[in-house]
Amino acid sequence: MISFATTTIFGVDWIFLKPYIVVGLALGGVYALSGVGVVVLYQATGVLNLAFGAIGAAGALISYYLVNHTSTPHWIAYLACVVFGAIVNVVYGMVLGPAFAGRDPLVKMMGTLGLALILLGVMAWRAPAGGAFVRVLQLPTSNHRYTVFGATVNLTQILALVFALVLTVGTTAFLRFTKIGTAMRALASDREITATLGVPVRRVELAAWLGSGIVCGAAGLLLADLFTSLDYTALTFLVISSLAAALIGRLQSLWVTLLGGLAVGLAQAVATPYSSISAYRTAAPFVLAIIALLYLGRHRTVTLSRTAG
Amino acid sequence: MLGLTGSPAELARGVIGRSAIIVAFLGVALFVVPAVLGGDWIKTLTAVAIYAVVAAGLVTLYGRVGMISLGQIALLAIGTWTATRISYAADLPFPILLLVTGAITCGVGVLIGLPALRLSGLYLALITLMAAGAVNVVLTTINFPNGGHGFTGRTSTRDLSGLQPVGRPGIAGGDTAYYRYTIVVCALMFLLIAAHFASKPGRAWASIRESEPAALATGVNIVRYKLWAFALASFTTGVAGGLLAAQLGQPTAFGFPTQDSLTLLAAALIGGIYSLWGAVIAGAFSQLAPFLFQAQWGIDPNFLLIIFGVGLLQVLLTAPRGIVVQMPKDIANLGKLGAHLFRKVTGGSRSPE
Amino acid sequence: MRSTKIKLSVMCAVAGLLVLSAALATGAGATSTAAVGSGKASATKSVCGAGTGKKATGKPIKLGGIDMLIPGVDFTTIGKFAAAYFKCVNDNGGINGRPIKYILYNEQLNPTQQAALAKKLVESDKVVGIVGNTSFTECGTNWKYYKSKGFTVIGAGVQAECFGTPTFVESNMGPRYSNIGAAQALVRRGAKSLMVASPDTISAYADGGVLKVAQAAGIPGKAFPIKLPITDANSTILQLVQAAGEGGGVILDFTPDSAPALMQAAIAQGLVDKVIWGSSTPIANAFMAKQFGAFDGKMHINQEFGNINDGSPDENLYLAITKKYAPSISPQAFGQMGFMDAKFAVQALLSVKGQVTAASYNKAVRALKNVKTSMLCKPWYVGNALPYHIPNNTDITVTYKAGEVVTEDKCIPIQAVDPELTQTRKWETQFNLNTGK
Repeated sequence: MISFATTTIFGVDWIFLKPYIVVGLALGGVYALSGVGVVVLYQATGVLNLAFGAIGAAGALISYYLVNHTSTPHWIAYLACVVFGAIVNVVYGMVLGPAFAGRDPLVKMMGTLGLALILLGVMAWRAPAGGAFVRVLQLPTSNHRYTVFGATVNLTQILALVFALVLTVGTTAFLRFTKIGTAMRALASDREITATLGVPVRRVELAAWLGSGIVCGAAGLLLADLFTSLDYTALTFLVISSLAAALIGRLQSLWVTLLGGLAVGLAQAVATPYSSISAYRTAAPFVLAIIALLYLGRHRTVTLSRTAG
Repeated sequence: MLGLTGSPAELARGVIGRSAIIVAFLGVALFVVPAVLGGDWIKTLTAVAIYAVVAAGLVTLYGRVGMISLGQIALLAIGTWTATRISYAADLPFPILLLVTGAITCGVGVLIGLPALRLSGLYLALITLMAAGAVNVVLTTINFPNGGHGFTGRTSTRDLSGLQPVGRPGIAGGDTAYYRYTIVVCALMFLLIAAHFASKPGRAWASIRESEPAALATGVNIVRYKLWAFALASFTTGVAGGLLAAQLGQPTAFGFPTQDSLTLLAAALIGGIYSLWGAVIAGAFSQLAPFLFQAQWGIDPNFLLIIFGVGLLQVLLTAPRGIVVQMPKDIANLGKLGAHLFRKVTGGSRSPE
Repeated sequence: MRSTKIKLSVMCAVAGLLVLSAALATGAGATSTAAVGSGKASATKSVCGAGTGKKATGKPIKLGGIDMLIPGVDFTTIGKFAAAYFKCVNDNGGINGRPIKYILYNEQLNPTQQAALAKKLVESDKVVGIVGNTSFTECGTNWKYYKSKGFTVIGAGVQAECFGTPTFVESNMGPRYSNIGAAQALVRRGAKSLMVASPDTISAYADGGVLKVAQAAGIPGKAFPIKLPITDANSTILQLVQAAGEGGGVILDFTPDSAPALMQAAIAQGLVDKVIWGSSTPIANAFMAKQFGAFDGKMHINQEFGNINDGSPDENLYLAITKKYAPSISPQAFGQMGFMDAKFAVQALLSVKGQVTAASYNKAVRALKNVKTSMLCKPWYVGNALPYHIPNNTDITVTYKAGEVVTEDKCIPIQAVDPELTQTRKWETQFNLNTGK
């Protein structure tokens, strides 16, 4: 148990455990960022975007190509990733969004799965994984390192955390206190009624998808750096682990999503030195999400179809 | 599956017609296919049948009851694992092995379903995806049994001559015989599901899908019927897992990645989520298409992902009932168009269109 | 609805074009017209096949191969380089005037798929031999089938079954023996412990040898199975270094798809100088050397084949073939494996007297012995009806230096901690398999 003589926790020395907390928070930043990004999209457009990771990965590939095979200034290359995310989201949202408007949230989610599969297929076809050849996208911020508690974090990891925090605070305020924010929430809830209220539906939708797209692109860039090698399949399906953070927040509360993501990262990292559970630590996101969902959903009874519940 | 309108004579004709199609289909699958196609096809088509049964579970859960489970592949993996472990532990006749595997998988499915029933729609889908992710991590860590002792049944012996594959039934050791055996068992699973659709559970499920409050008001025990659906889907998937274990011989955790649950659902939607024939098409999409692309036509299988994505979007937007309903319609339309053109070309009378 | 369909197509096209523009292949194709691999073979020069410089135009001889391709690991490079070698042979007279046609399939670790592809090659495509197979699991899935058809497969192995059954003969030594070699290198440099990390799917086989080396050296040893793809490199590398302790040894057993994340994490955490680093072969290439200058002289890589830039005949031919026939494959161990698999297959084909059939080709393969190549420390062999084959069991250690890969320790036999190695060396002297006589 917790012994004070030599400060061990469940058998592992505190001095060995400390760095994992730091590493865990950095990992949690990754989960929190993608989780908040997914929930932001859901709050603003009513669509759970399973293509979040794929769009980010594709944008990162574009940045990689611009940095390594052309003489584009790096900052423009990174901007290209963000712009790409915005364009894809806007095109998808404006072209196909209305067609999906009255449908089940499940159907809307499956639509984005279609988009993810298309992007994955194109990436795998045009930029196949190499043999000795691995694509590394390193942001300049990764060269700045700081030592905390015996572990080292770099500026990119801190940026990911800060970005997730800013996103949470900013979006919560935006959706609650601004006119467009309120209009977005109404739109996500019921498009038909909102239209009859005189809200400029198409313009508000455009704003929602555009904002979400920028988040998607920026998150993709940060995640590609944090994962070192541009493994677009891993990045695409990172969305499954990020959904865990989103589910802990019940797809509603951005703050709980943020904290949930951090908790998941911490749990996964801190489990590492405990040899009995270490091999299972990548299940941490899933286990925590299941617990959260079951606990938080314990009072539900019957539901009508067509809503998220 | 059974249309319940029309006169008794029409009904009888409908049932006979449908049965005839099924018998003909099975006949071709059992006798014509092995005679015409080679060993590589046979192996692939065996997998098609197995995954069709898994897709049929999706048709039951989503098409009939309105519940989404994104963990069907994880259940398949559990079924395969259970069958593998039991086959090393005890010397059971193969049909008994399949039944026991189905029962255990059914139990697991119900255990997962029970607490999840309070959720609905999106949340149910996502929690099953999370469960699938967790199962996948556990399976890749403990790996599949290979004849060793203990719960995990895995030995790291380096003497490989001693390792036996999962045994096949005595009458169906070879690939072609096993293919036929699989087709028969899968047909039985489909029959089991169809029987459910045609009787009381099917009606209860339909009313639950339409409106839960209304079903509750008419006295349908929602929890019981939802669990029943989970149980049926898990049982049939478990049996499919047992068949897969003997097909593979020495299964590994690589065969069951979490994202396959998503792509199988996409395949089922494209095939037709409201019909059991759609499940057959889904099985073909997920197992036959990659083989065709790569081994037969020499096309990069990544194109298949793109086609999948486009197909999914197309189906969701324009043809929610999937290929199984859309294709006959399209062919009928094509036929009408052809007839129309033919009339025009032969200068027939101008009939009001 | 029609308009939606049109919009759909437009959207797809736009998305496709955008990503397309992002990932165009790099590098211009080589347009050298020099006759690669032609001339007379000597102690200083290697040729492709007969080296005639004339294109082969007869009826093709069919060979087949199956390589694994999964997210995170791509073994098709091996088959693709074998194909390049065959092209060189076809431009140099082929096999007695007949060109080689090589059919390469890829598989995604689906055993049904692996079995179906093997059947397709042998029964539908009717190849006379299988060459260039590499996978995490295909040896296990198909070895009995190949044996039943009388096929002996020349490939590059990863799994235990590739080195433990009569059907497969590998040009490499596999992760277990490569890891042992790395462990030996670390022990020679005074490592106080041996920690080894491999993908969890092969860990039990790949890491067992290192633990035996640790035991023999009287130092602590532990194996760490790692789940791929690696999502928390920082935790993993921290765990390895903590377990090794100060002055301990850490052996990484990963391909260039996964290793960079771990090595980058080690640099980021400032752990490079805390332990002595070792690795198995896959990261011994110039690309990694350029990327990871921080590990110069500190990462001791066991290299199952010769150093690509050592100027020896086969290495030079390897580079020449790369330039002309496979410019997109950067020089690396996987390419060397493909080169050797193809070279041995061609040697077997050329030695067939009479009709080239599946029976005669595979018989010729099994008869191979004392096949010299400057890529290996000792001559290669099959040795007929041995219950298992480990022909490559002596090799070198390399490290990074200023963006290049340089040799550190020359040919050292892999420590015989396994009874199979001891037995293999007995057979080598008993049957003159690689003694050069």
